[in-house]
Amino acid sequence: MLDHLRAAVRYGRTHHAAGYLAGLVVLATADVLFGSRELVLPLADVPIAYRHEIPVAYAVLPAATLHSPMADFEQGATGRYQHVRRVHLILVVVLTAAAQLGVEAASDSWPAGVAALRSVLIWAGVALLSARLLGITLSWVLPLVSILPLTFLQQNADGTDRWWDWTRQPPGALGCWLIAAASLTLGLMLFHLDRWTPRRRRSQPRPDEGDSIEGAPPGIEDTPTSMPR
Amino acid sequence: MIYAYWTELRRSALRWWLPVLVAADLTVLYERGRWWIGVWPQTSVAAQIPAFYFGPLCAALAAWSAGRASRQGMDEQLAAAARPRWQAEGLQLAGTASFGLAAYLVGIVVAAVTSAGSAGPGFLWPGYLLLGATVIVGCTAVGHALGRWSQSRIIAPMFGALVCFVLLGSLSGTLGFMVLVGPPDARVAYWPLATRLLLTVAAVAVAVSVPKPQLRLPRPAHRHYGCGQAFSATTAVMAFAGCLAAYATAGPIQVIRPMPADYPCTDTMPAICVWPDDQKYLPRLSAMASRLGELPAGQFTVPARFYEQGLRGSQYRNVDFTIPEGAMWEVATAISIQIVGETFPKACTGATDDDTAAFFHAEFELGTWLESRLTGAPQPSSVHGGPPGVDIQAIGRLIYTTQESQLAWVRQRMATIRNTTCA
Repeated sequence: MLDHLRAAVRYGRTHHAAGYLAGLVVLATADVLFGSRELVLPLADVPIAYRHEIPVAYAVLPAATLHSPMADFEQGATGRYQHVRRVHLILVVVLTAAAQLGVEAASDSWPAGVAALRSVLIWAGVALLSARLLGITLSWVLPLVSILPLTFLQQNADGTDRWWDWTRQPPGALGCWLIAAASLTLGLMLFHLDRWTPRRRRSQPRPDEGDSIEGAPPGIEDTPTSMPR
Repeated sequence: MIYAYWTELRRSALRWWLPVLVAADLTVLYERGRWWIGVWPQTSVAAQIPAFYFGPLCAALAAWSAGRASRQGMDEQLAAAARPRWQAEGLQLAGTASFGLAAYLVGIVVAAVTSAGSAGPGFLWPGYLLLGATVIVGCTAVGHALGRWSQSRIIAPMFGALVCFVLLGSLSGTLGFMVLVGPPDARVAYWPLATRLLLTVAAVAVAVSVPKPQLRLPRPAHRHYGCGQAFSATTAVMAFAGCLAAYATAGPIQVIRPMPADYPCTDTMPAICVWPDDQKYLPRLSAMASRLGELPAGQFTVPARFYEQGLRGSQYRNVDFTIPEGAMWEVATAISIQIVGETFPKACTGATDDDTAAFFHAEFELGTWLESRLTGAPQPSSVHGGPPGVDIQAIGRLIYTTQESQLAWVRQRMATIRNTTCA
C-alpha cells in the first residue's frame, strides 16, 4: 500500500500535481473575488459576469497535467501505465469539476455551480482536442479562442441566449448537456487514441520496417498487431 | 537587425493565426452591428473594439513564445551572446505584436473602405485607433513578461490572457484602456492618450529588459558583470511606475468636443440639427420631422429646432437628443420629451399621490404616443422597457387608427394633465 502511495506521489510530481493544486487555489480565489463582476463588453445587451467565463481556466488544468517532463520515457511504458493515465485523467477532470461546482455553489448558488460544472466538462473536452491538435502544452489555445463566439455571438436577434451558449443557458438546458457529452466523449476518445496511432506513425514511418523499439506503442496487449518485433 | 526581425516574423507562433485573427476582427466589426458605417468617430471606435479580443490572445501567445528560451534551454546562450539580451527579446516581442497589429490594421482599412461611401466630412480618428494599438502592444508586453519570468508553459499563457481579460473587460469603464462608443460630441483627450502610450512603451521596456527574477543572489565574484542589465531593468521599472502614476492622474480618456461652428439641419419645419459627422441620418430625421408636421394641429407646442447633443451650450446637454447605435427611437424619445415639456412647462406635483400618479401616467402615455407617431411605427422589439405603467401594445395599435380617434385620446390625456390640482 505504501509503495502504491509512493508511486502515486512520484507520478504526481512529474505531472505537476503541485502546480495543478496551486492553479485551483488561484482560480478559486479569482472566482470568489471577480466572479460577480461584469464584463464591460462593447455590444452585449446583457451583462456577462466573469463567473461565466472563468470555467475555461479550470478546464485547461486537467489537460495541462497530462504534460510530463518525462514524456519521452513514458512513451516506452507498459500497458499498466496506460491504465494509470486513464485513471489520472478521469480523476483530475472529476476533481476540477467538483472544485468548480463547490466554489460556485459557495460563492453564488447551486444552479450557477451546475452550469459552471457543465462549462468545465465542455471546455475540458475542447482542451483535450486542442492538446491533441497542437500539443499538450498548447491545450489552452482552443478554449481561449472559444471565448470570442461565447461573448460576442451568443445572442439571438431578440436578445435571448443562443441554445449553444453553454455559459449562460440555465443548468437544465438539454442542448448544452448534449454539447458537454459530445465534447467530453471526443476529448476522451482522442486521448485514448493518442497512445497508439499517431505516435506509431511518427516514430515508425512504415510499420513493415518496424525496427525502432524507441517509439513502440504502449498499450500493446490491447493491440497485438502492433507488437514490436 | 531587420533580418532578425523577418526571421522572428517567419518563425512566430502566430504566423498561421493571422487569417484567424483577421476573421475574428471582421466578425467583431460586422457581426453585431453595422450602425457605425458612415460615421467616422463611430467607425474608428468600431475598428478599435477587436483589440479587446486581440489583447488577451496576443498576451497568451506572447507568453508562449517568450517561454521558448527556457523551453529550449537557450537562456545561458542568450545571456552570453554578443548582442544585449534586450535586443533579442525586443525583436521577439515586436514579432508577436506585429501580427496582432497587422490583423488590426486590416480591420481598420476594411472599416474605412466600408464607411467612406456614406460618411460625412473627415476621416478615421487616429486617437481611438492608437488606443486600440496600445491595448494590443501593452497586452503583448504583459504576456511576454509573464512568459519570460515564468517556467510554466501553460500557467503563463493562461494567466497572461486572464490578466488582460480582467483588465480590459471588467474595468475598461473605469480604467479607460478601451472606448466602447464614439459619439460625435466626444473626442479623445490628448494627455490621457499620451499617458497610455507612455505606459505601453514602459511596459514593453520592462518586458524586454527585466530578466527572470533569480532567488539566488549572484556570487560576489561575478558582481561586475551584468551591471548594465541591472541598471536598465531598474530604470524600466521606475519609468513604468512613473507612467502608471501619470496615467492614474490623467483623467478620463473621452472629453467633450467643442461646439462646431457650422452644422447641417433638415430643411423641414421644425428643423432637426445634427453634427456634421452624423449627416447620414439627415434623410431619416427629415422623415421624422415631416411626421412631426402631421401631428394634430394646435395641440402641442413644438420647438422650432431640435439639436443633437453637444451642438449648443452645456445647459442643454440633458435635453438634446443622441443617436445611440443609430436608433431613431431614442431620438424620438428625446424629441417627444422636449415637446411634452414645452407643451406643459409648469412642473407639477399633485396634491395627493394619486394626482401625481395620474399626471405622470398621462404625460408618459402622451410621450409614448408621440414617439410612435414620430418614428411612424410602434416601439420596436429591440427596445426593452419603457415608461412605467404604459400599455405600449395599445399605443402601438392606436397610431394606426383614424386621426379623430387619436385626437380624442390625446385630448383626454391633456385634460387629465391640465386638471391636476398641483400642490
